[in-house]
Amino acid sequence: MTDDLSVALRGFAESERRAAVESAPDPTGESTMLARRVTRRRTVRAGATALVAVVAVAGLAAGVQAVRRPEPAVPPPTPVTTSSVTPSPSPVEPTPTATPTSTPTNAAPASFDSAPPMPPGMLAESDEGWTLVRFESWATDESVLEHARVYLVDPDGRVFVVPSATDPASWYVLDWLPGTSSVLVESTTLSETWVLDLLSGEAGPVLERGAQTPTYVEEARFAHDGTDDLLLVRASDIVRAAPDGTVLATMPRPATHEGATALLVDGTGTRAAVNDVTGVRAVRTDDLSAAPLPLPDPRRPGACRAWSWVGDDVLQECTTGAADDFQIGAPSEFWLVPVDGGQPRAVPAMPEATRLGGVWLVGDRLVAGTFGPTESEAAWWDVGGATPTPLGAGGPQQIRVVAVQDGRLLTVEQPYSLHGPVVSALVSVDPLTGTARRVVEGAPAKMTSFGAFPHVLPVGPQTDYGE
Amino acid sequence: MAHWRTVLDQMVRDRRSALVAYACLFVVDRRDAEDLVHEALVRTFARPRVVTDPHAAEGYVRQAIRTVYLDQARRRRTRQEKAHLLDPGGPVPPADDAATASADVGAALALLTPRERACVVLRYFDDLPVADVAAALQISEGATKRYLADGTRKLRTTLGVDPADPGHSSVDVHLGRSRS
Repeated sequence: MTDDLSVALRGFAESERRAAVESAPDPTGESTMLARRVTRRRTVRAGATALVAVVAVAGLAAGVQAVRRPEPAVPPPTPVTTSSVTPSPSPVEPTPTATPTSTPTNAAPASFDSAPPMPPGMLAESDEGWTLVRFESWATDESVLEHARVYLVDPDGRVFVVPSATDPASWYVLDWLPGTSSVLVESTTLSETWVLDLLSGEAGPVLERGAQTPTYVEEARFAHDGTDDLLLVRASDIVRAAPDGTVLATMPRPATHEGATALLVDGTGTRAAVNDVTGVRAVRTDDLSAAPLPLPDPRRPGACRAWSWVGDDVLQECTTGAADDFQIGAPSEFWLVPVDGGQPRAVPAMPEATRLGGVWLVGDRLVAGTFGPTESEAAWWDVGGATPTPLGAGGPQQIRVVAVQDGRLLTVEQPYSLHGPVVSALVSVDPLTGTARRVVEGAPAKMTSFGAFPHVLPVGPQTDYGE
Repeated sequence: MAHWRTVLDQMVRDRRSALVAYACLFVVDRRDAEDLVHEALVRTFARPRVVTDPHAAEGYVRQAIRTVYLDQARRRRTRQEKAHLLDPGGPVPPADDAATASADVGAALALLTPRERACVVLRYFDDLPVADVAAALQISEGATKRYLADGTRKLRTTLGVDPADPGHSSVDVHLGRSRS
């Protein structure tokens, strides 16, 4: 009888396969479209390899004022859904119950489409509280590029178009150095990475060429330590390099657990955690020499992988039980491991790894966020105690956190829908209340590419096969 | 050209139709299946792993198809639960109605819940043992057996397969109609 079900399923699948063959589009065009999407998504991951930065700078003001041209009147308040959360019954797997309420904001979000040109000298005046955005959109036909531009967003949420000397459609931004017009870019068509001056178009030498070679760059960023040096993760090594590609320091590139970021730099730019299947390590970024980093379980050093920095600690996820190797999707526990001395301490109040978007220091709170494809909305938790304390919930769940600014999390909302169109936006989130406020948004599109820089926070590692 | 691009091109050229057929087992509608396959391909090749072999890549893509499908079903179910809508799996038609209806496999699969559907496909299409089905979907073996029992019961009822007749070697269904 079960053979009959197998026959039925295979017969159905064969019928669909034949129909798919008959209706298949041009494979070259389809593959080109898919490759473009892959490159965009790879670029987002590659550009997010830096640390949690708890930086007390003037971030986004509570009342964001959109700059529009022309501006005949102040737009009416736009209601934003906020949520209150009742306590979770489970300390290990928090399940919030959100009660939506509405809170009016001061202004509608700014729009990329109506952003004015950037005044001269603004890039030089910027600092870590500013955000550089590369935004690209596709209409219903994914082969038609509508929009590829670079924007500068100031701490008050005002948006300006950066007059790029070269076509932003020909490269993706991997990182930006605040206070300068220097960006690290990757070609949209070739495996090439270089430092580019946005305003003059002056390009540094290609830092790598060709995949599957020892110098193929897999992760790249500025050091963000007061210099304009770069930190590159290549196929065979990790290097500190000058913008012209001169190697200043090098170390062998270790094997990395699947789905993990190889190099995670801290908020000062002076130290980095290195994911290694034999055990997470720490290095000083100036010369890539080893820095002391204890192991959560010395008997099973390979059972852990690093997620990010939380202050001076490396957040590590360790597979529980007797397994010697870290296993994606297996039961795990989290540890905060101090660099340069101290004892690792467990974080018992964490949500499941497959739900976790990340952990950050927001003020003096250790805040975890659950969002992503497994969630219907974003939720935020204080995980500094023995059990998780719900903070806020609500707001979009298809987000990634790009900065911590003035007690709020700056996120990129980039919804995914099989059918579209979707609106992508820069969103400011207050994790204590769950309030999410769009700072600037793009026009509805079938697909978008949205990079926000400096990308000082890492994207969470892969937590499920097929993710 | 980057090596992953070569593998991607090869997969699209040689395995697209098979992957769409596999995705149809989950979402039934061929247009949805094509979108599901696209997303699965992008997720597979966007990850920091060296995909050098099309055969291995296809394994990753099939995993991604299941994951994307279940993620979307989970979000859809949560929204529906909050809006007090009915279960997306829908009621099973009475045996006498199903026995007389000209149901196709696609319509029968659509009656299953997402987890039932995923378990049935992995067990009876991918030929995985129960333990491997449980591991692939990150659920317990007990839950897997329950989903399989419920899913196969619904399919047999809808497709008119009589479990009391082991000699019954053909399925009296109208195969091949999809909802495109």
